[in-house]
Amino acid sequence: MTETPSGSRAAPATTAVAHHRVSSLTGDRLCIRCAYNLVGQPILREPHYDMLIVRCPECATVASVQEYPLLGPWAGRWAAVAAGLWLLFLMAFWIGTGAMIFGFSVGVGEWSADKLSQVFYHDYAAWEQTQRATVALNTATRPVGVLAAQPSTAYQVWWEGLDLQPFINSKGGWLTLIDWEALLLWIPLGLLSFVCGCVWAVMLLANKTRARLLWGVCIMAVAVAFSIIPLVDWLADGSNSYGNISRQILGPIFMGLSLAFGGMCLLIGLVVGRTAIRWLLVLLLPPRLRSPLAMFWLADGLQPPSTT
Amino acid sequence: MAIAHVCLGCGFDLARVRAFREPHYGLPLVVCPRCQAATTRRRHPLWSAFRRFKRLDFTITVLGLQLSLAALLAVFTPFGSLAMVVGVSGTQRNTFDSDLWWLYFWPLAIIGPLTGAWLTMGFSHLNRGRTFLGWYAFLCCITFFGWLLAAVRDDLDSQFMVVQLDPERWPVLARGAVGYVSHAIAMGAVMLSAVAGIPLGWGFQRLTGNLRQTLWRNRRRKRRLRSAA
Repeated sequence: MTETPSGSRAAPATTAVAHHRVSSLTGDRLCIRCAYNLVGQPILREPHYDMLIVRCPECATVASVQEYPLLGPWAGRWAAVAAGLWLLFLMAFWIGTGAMIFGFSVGVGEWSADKLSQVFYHDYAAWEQTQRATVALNTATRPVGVLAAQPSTAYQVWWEGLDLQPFINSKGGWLTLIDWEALLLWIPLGLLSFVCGCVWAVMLLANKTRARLLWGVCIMAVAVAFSIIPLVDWLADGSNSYGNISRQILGPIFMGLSLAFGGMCLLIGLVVGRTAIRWLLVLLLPPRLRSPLAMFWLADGLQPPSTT
Repeated sequence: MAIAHVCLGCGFDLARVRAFREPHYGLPLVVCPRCQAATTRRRHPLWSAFRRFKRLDFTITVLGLQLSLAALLAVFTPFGSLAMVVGVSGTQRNTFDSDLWWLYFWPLAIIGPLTGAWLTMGFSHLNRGRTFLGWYAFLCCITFFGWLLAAVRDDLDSQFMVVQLDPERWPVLARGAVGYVSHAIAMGAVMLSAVAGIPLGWGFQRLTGNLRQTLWRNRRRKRRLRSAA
């Protein structure tokens, strides 16, 4: 491009060079800007680089015919939308996995305290009957016009007067007062945590074992964060009902143990998940169907499965 | 219409020129009729991506189907065989109507052949004997787990009605063991009846194979007619 003395820009001299028509398009090819089908348009040999081009008759955009036509701007936009949705799903699944482990753990914590709660209830009921009998006796024997001092039947009074350790020993010790059936919840907890670990191992396909384990710690952080809610509830005021007292005593221990168990199963799933999935694929799919899932092998640097 | 494929030598559109498999590398080769330059025909990236997606979709569908059938049969086989044991022991002790004794054997007539057909068709890439034995071992494992749970909870009688032999004389775990063994034997009978499903599986396998070949042939014929038009 040249500058004229008057300051205006002159058109480049090369525009005058004619394109050399070599052929015409007989197949489908869409314009990269307006998506007009260029079928029937002349294929030109342009003079600058000696490239083959096709010019769109609608928008005059030049397309080089050496490559496949592009998808246009919408491909990138849809890819961004898909990436955003995938990120949202990952975040929801992250919270969901932590919430699942928390839910089972709090269930174990509450269930384990059921037996102790019943023992407390029966002892309180017996104590309350004794107190009521005393009240009735005092009322019957008091002189007319005199208010007799009445013993309280309040739950708080019973609890404050209870010496816990001798009471537990008299009922057979801690081991007999724990509802061990609560540990049955560890079966679904362990299975689901392991499965979630396997799913995460597949979703975090680009990550190595150490990074996956780190992600497992992040999931457990969510579960522990959720666990603060019932802990605060149990420990805030434990002496207002026998259920609360028993949960205050046993709940945190069993919830902590369940969190540890769920976390362990999750981490096992994260470590061996891909191997388990590969084994399952080899077991369930015939060789010719395995090749689309070769990424599970390639991600760990293994040979892709044979198709024969 | 075919997708444009321009010869890089002379600019001639090779879209309507038919490709042939060259003998050295097996590539689909197109020779330009104008300048004789040889180029390979590649699939359009969009079409390749769509085909990859379709293959992945088919693989995942097959995987889902396999897992669904496995889950379905892993539930129905233990429960069906348990019903068989309960029915037989109930008939022996005159608890149930003995006229309908043959009804208790429905798992042998339905679940068994279905299992056989599935194991033959879905696991054709594995050794058949090992597949049948493996499936039976898997069923025994999950059933054992159920019995173990019931024994731990000490409510075998309420959980499973099989333990009707003589409850007075058997301790809980021994009753559980007897119940489990009879259950495993009933599942073994179901697995024996699964042999009847093997020809069914072969038939299905052949049918789907023929169908796949026919579809492929039809597609190829259509493509050939399109390129000739």
